[in-house]
Amino acid sequence: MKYKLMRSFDFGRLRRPSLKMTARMFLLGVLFLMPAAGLAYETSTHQHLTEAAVDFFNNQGEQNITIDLEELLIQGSVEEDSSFRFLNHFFDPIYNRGLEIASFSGASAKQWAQDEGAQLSFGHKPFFNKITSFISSTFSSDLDDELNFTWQAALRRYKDGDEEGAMLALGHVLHLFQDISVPAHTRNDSHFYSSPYENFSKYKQAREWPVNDLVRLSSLDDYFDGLAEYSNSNFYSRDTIGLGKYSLPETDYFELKDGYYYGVKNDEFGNYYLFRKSGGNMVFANRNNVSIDTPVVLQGYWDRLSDKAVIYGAGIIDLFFKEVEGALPVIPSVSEGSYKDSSAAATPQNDEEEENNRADVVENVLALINRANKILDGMEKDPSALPQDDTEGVGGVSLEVDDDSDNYNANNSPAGTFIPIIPAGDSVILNDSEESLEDPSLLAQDDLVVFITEFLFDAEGADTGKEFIELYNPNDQEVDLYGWSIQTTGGKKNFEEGNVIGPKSFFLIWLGASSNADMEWKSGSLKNSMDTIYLVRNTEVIDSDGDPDIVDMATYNKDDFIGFEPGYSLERIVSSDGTVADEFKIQTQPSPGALGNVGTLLASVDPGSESGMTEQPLFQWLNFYRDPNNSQRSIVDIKLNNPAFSADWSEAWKVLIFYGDCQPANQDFISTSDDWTPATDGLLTTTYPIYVGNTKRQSLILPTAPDGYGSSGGIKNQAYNYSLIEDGIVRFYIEDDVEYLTMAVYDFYQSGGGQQSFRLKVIDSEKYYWQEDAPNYQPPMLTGDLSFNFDKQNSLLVIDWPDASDADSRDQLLVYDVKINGEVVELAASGYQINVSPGDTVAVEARAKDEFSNYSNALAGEWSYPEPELVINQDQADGWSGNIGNKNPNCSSCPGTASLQSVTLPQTAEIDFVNLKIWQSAGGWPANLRLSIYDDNGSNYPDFNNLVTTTTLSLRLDSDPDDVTNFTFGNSVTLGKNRKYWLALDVESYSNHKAFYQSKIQNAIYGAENVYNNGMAGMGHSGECFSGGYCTIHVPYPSASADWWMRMGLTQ
Amino acid sequence: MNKVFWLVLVLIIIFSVWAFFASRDGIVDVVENVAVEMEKLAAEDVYGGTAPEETLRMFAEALEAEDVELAAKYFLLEDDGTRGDWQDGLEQARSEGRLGEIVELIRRARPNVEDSTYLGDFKFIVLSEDGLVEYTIDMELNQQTGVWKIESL
Repeated sequence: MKYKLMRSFDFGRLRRPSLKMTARMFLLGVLFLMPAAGLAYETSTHQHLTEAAVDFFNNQGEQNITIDLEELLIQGSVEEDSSFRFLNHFFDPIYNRGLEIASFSGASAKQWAQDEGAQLSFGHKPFFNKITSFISSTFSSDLDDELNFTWQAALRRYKDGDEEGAMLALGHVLHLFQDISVPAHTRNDSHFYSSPYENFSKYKQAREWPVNDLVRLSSLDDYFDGLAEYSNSNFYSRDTIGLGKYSLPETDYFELKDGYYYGVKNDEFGNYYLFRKSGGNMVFANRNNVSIDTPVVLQGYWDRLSDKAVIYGAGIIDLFFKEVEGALPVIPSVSEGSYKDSSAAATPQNDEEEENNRADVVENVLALINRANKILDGMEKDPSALPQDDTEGVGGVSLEVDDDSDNYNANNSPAGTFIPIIPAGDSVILNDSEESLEDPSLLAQDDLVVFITEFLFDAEGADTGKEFIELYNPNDQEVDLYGWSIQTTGGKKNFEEGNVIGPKSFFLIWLGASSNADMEWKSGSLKNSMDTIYLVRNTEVIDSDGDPDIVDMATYNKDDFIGFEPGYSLERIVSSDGTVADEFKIQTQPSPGALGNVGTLLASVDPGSESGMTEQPLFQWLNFYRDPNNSQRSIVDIKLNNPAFSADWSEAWKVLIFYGDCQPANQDFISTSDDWTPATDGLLTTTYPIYVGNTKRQSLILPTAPDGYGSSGGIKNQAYNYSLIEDGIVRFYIEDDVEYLTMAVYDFYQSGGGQQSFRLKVIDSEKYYWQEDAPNYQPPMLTGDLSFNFDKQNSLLVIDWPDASDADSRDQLLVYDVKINGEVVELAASGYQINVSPGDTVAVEARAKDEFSNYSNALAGEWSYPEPELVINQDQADGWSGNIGNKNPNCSSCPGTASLQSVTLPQTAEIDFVNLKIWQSAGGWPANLRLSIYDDNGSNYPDFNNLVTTTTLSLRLDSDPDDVTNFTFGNSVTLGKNRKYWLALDVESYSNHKAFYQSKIQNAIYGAENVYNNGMAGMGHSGECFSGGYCTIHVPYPSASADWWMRMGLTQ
Repeated sequence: MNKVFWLVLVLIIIFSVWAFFASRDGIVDVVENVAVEMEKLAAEDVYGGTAPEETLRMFAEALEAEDVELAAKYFLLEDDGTRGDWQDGLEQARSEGRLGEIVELIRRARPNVEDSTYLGDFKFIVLSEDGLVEYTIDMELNQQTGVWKIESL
């Protein structure tokens, strides 16, 4: 059989914005979508879901799929996206259709999975479909192998004894199920814009799958229908929120959370968020943004949909083997020969048994090689298309087999097959969380520690002969490795007689042949994706991570090491004091067996040094008390030392872990993978400020420098807002109800490979007891004087005073009570401004208040408006003008409506201000009010071409009809004797465009008699009119005798 | 008769084989060509900053200068390969005198780092006085050019 690598395109390189171009294809009349559109999960997610489905299936205990068959399943599930097959990965169960858009109509995933003719003819022009299908199915079995990955092909191949071909096809079918767990694929959403859910899910590969029952249905159709209906009816895709063609899902209720309104739905797992209203649209005022593009929503989606994909995937595997009558020739049950079992057939107990099994081992290896070579041939020797184990385990493997090795990859026959029941971790884990290098000289051989310090699992190009595992003996005595073994989930190599590591020396295991190696493991290989390496104190196959004979182990997942490239190695993290961490980091320049960074650090360590653990007071003081402003929570104030913490600690961040009513746990390291939180009970949840808003965490991350918090990612995003640490006091909140708290402090330790870790530095076992009452904090201090600055241009009085300070409260939280002419306002910061008019007197008192309602002394002062010389003083009013500031909604370029008033002075006068009474009877949007003075055009109308002067008040919002608004002109102007002028009051602009239609701004008018000399009030536009009759001027309005309430004059 | 039969059969086979190979890449070629074109467009899209805040600042500056054409270039490409929808919207906002209002809103925007759904996604929020989210600005990284684009605001 030949399985050629299908023609593929590098979809991974296609990201938005190019994704957005998909619709363009249709607009241009092109038939098909761009490649990336319609792709659902990332290939890595497909891989992960397939692995999880296999694990789930295997854990049912009835049958087991071997590792190499699993690799083929994964390969199939990954390759299904190639060659534009993804166009057939949609299944809308409501309308029983595949992807339909414009003139394109794809096969439904349900049909595609079972229609051999469709798969064989896919990619051909429709006219030729029947011909090519006939030819390919009749004359070319090779073509069938290349293009036909249907359910039927999988069944047929398996019954014909072609397990590999069957698994490959079954992997393709699994892919389809994974895709229809994506709502976009069941709601006919081609996701031009890419899918928020799929983008989100590609970072969610390390999920621990919950235990559920296997879904057993009677047919493939039932599986498709069941999963598609679940996906369609319970979730939205990005572009189908609220679409009428789908009646479901329905929102159970709405919830306000973090400033957003969310639509919430309830199911058997609890509540989850369906969507959220993300606010308005700045550019398109009539649009609202409704979205699923937030972790709050997508996490609930992923939790449910990924589980379904796994459960249904396992069910399909179960159905597959039931349909081939349970024939699974290479799958021993767990109890008969799995990794869990130590029976002789599976796990040789001694040399004699191993010798007995050797023939089987050789046979298995040969079978593996033959199979892999055939696959390689068929794939045109493209190693990237193979499962990594196959590539590595075959390409450089000679027919020689080590006497002592058990190759677990050689599981192509019933004997010698091992199914490791070892959970794949997402980080490298040391069996002991920290192993400080104590003086080992007094230790027996069995107690000696040896570390896996570096390994290379993915070389550039073919891996064969390039991989290695490096060990390091940190002890002052040699360690005899004979009788030990090095193991992975795919194989084992026993150490040979004479394999000894000298004190503080390396031991190099080469997976292949190398003259530099201390031991060659010629048949060994490390998986390119994820695996675990075990150093074991005997030669028995370990049965769990908790096996007491494991000296050290390293679990790796390539996806966790951002920036990893083939050819890099992973190197153990070792601190400057020699503490060996759990984690590994990327080493771009592998140094097998040499003094690399790790070796240098280890070699320089005094094994007798302490790890740094001490018991000591941490702070000057700590107060733990009820929040006087919120009885549901408590405040914790910590007064840091100066300098904070110990000077020899590394500069970066500290993690403060608080415990309620118990002593701190002695866990040496915490890292990103455990959310910087020890795996223990009694942790308290802290609420503290970060760059934006607050966060709730069980680990308070405290930066030690001003730039230690922010929004640039990593630790900074979760770090305490440094700018709010004041007087050395760190304040946070606890909602847990406890009598006392204790704490542990962790020091920043390492960042890299997508991980950050912290190391335990100090445990503070002192019990800090909760107090009912707040401590006796000192009142704030306010010194200096009030200042008054008159902004004549804007008729503003700016009142200011120095900032207050507080020795034991956060200054940023101080507020100010300001009494202005008897009315008190509370301000968050010093400084206040009010509008003033001629004749006003302003009396001010200001004092600071802390959050415990302690007041400072008060500052007091008084200011009076300079006495003006009035030209007009018309202070009577009995009505209001029409609404000003409105615009014709159909004429965006039309000027707003103005209130007009003519004046004719009996003598020449110089003026620089006008007072009016203005109020806003409706609409809450501040406006820029403009008052202009024009000449008369000789026909008793304003001459808008002759502007005398104008001024604008910014963002005024007058809701009080008694308010006097003062317009001051920058320079005084002279109004001529017996000459008619027109005052035009209008709105230059609003804070919100809606106000043009909805605000009602009016000025006071006196209509009883004509006060001014030939003065008339009116309504109309305030400039050139662009729109027919709407912009006319009505003078007089409301009556010939109407005059504005107005004071006009010159400021002294 | 036999000769004719075999001749016809051979011709049918030849035609079928030709038909098979002649029709192979119709879809593939079309889609691949499109993909190349789209990649090219994305690679040419260099308008924006290397940080989301920088792109927003550049966008606001363009609005202040009433350079709607430039401002629209900070948006992600639309489905038709242009930013037509956004540019039209901005033109409308300019005619209504709302550009300054948009600038003011942008200046009130604050990062909402916990709302990112994946690397390359970033959001800002504008809060109303009562603490509700009045607007959300959604940014996305152009992976090819490394500049941040405005997806919606």
